[in-house]
Amino acid sequence: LTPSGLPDAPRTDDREGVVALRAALLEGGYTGAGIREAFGSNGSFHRDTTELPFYLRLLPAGEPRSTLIKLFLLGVRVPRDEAAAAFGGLSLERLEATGVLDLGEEDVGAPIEIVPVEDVLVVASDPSREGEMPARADHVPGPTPPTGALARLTVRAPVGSALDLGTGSGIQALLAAAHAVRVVGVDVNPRAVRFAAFNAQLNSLDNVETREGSLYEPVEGETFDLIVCNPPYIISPESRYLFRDSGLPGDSFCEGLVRRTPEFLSEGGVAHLLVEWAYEPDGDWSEPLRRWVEGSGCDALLLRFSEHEPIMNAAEANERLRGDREAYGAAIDRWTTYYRELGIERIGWGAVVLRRRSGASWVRAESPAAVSPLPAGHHVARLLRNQDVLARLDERTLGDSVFRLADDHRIEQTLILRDGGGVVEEVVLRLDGGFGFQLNLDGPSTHALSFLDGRRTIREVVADVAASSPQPVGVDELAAGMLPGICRLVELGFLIPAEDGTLET
Amino acid sequence: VTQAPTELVRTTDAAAIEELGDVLRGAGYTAAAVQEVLASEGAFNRDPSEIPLYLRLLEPVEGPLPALIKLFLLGEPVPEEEAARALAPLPLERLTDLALLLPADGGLVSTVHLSPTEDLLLASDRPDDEVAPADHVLGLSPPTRVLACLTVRRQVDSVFDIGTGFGLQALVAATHADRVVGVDINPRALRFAEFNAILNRIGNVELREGSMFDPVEGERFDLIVGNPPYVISPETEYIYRDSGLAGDSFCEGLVRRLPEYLNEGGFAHALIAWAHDPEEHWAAPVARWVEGSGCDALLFHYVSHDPLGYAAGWNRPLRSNADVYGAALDRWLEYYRELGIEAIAWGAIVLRRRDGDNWFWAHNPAAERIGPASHHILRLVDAQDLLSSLPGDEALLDQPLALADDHRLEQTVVLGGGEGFVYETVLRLEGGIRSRVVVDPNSVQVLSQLDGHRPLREALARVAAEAGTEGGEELEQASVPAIRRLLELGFLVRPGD
Repeated sequence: LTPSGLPDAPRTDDREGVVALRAALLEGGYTGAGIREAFGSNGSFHRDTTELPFYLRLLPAGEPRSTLIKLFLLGVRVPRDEAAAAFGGLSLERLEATGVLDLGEEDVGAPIEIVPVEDVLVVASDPSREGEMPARADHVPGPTPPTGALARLTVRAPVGSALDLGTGSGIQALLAAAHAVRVVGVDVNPRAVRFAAFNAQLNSLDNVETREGSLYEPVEGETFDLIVCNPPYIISPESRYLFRDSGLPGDSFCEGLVRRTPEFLSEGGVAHLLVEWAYEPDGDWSEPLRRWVEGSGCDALLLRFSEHEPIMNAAEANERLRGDREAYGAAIDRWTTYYRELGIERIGWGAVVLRRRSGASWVRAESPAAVSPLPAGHHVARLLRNQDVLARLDERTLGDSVFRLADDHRIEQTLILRDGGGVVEEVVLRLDGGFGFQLNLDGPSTHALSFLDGRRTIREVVADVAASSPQPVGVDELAAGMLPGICRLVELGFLIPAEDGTLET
Repeated sequence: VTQAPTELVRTTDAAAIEELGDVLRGAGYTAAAVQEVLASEGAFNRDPSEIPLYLRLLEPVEGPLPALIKLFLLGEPVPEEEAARALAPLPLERLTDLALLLPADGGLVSTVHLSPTEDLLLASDRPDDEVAPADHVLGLSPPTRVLACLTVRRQVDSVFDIGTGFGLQALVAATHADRVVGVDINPRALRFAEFNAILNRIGNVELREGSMFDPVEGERFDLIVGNPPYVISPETEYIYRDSGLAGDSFCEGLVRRLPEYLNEGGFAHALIAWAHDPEEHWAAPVARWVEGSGCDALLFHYVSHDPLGYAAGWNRPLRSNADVYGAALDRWLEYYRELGIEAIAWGAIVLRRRDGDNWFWAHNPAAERIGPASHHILRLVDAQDLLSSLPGDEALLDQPLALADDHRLEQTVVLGGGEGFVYETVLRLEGGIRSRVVVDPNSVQVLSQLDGHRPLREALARVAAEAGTEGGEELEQASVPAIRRLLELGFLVRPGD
């Protein structure tokens, strides 16, 4: 693919104009909530071009929001006077000079897409249309589901420096700018670098610096307190798109990325990387990732969100070709052949979270049911902290420790009512929000939970459970039965150390 | 109608159709098998654009199933030898003679679509034509499932399936009726229904061609089921969709005429759409239709749309052509504007013919969660019978009621300081109409005391006694509305249910 005749990328030399654009978008109601309201009870907007006749009739005439949606979300041209009314005093020529609009004789279009992200930002990118592969190799995508997954799992603690590796349109960098003194966004795609810089300006963020270059090259010798990275992780036989295809075989690109990351982390710094990796279908899914992080000088939290058979990975990666039967089938064949040649039988998708720490490192692997639809950074922070606690404890000191149930736990019990009482059918302990971890509980465990009140040591909890047991039970025997379960509750973040008083909210 | 009528399905060789059914059942051509082969992740939902993926998922599967799925579910060509192997011992000529299989590039293609349900194999027109002919015969759809779930499944003598289409409702009813009459104005539909009766070896379904009630004039039935062309549209394009009558007058006529074809005690179930004024309750128009009908009526309201959303939903097949799609939207919107229609509801009406003062009860459940609900419908009917027989709601206090066996209580509890705080308590019904209702802790206490013997008044007194408080009239009065609601929703039953 060669770059087509499309305008290159929006410009940053008219700062005032870009700030005025932002104001016009907000004033016009072009926000996440505003767009949801416009599409109303008829369901969310799906970027489905065949629904344009429906979407256009949903939008009331004469409202700036309708015009902004047409231009920046639907990619539809509008008459010049309609456009002029939507941008207040801001001249259309000025927006064209910035690369935001494309003026025709009678009408106006937008060469870029602008969408609200996380209800706090507006982000410009190349337009994307369902059912169409991007036209150019240096396509800069807007927010995608993985973008959201990475944004939600990132630990949002205040830091000095942050790095967004493969920043694309800059979304992760912009989100980090809210809790970092300074952010560096890096991308090998010069157009992406320009989009990211434009988006920083559009959102009035002065602490985001953008640099062009491959992976860590532009930050050689520097270290960061926070790294976020949504790289071209797909295990793909192609080298078609900068944003998708690394061009390296199998998962070796992700392996190299994970292995290089520690040297760019400052002590205590946390990196969040989205990765794909191949593993044996009947083996441990985390085994390859464990090798990548061995001897890294980092603690590692390995999260698997989904697993695919090769053919399903091939189908998902090429879903935009579905409108073209021949091309879609050929792509699936090309990708599955590639997987077969490399001996890949199962592909995992998830995140590697690394925290640099001197001393003996730990590795923890978990498989949440799915990507969290809710913010999960506070749960990642909790898992890191709890694993630190467990790594320090032995059987004796565990007995002396005090834990309490996390405030965001929920016990969901299903009962059948009869004879003046309830017969318990099922009890599930889960965490509200975050990764939605959950466990089934039996009667004795449910009973024991109420003793974990943040005042008693584990030894006392075991003794109290023994004392309250209807049948006589040996304390040592009970402890042997209970301790593994308690450790599991700590690992998953249901229990937190009692001294950990100032909890994340 | 612009298209010429398409060819009729042939039923000339009934033995071949019966054998085809045996071959498919023998090969394990079931909904579960399709799910397992084609949907390794999530539910299988036939998507034509995914056919390249489906074909590749079928490649490693052994036996006759891949060829059968390609032919009858995906509508793909299969080489003649492969088709012959998959259909053996049925010779291919028997099916080509029926025009069920036709030569095409790459082998043979099926002229029909065959959907497996849990109990039946159902032939219908192939679903992949974007713009189908006027006499297109639809296969399984979410509305057919809703209607089948709502239908009261008692053993009866006679059943009438109005607008039988490919015959699903008639064939399901045939398992609990002596005889079923299926009527459709579309001769192609009737031929499909006949084909399906043979395919499933069902012999007690009689099919008659004609409009609505015409072919059964003067007859009465114990059960009527109807999935009619209820859509409120300006078009007369599709027999299965468009009645050609203005607004909801087709549905009104249907609901008003149903009672005269029902035996005393008989049930009628029909899917309907109706327009309602945003200012009045959504149930008001239908309440007027059933007034003085001689029937009790349950009305289920699943969804209401504004005109644009409704028009877009029914014109989705036109999306590939923006001009045609846009013009259709404008035509439908203009039609609604002229008729003054601002909201369109979709739901189901259940009528039971009964001498005496009739009741009407309207409910707003979630359609997508419904399961087989015959027992729940009967329970809701019994609840209304009871309530309408009582002199007033206070008389509920003297009733011995029981919690239905299929209830579940879901409690969300948060532990803190060694104590549990109940966050929320939800009572729900398993299966069927899946009622859900939030209940307060006091109601939970009362419900746990209902055993089907002691009257509600006594259960209240026990709860008061356990709490060490006075029971008294105040508590009784306060509990009556909640108990009434739980009775109406099917959580409480009369003993013996």
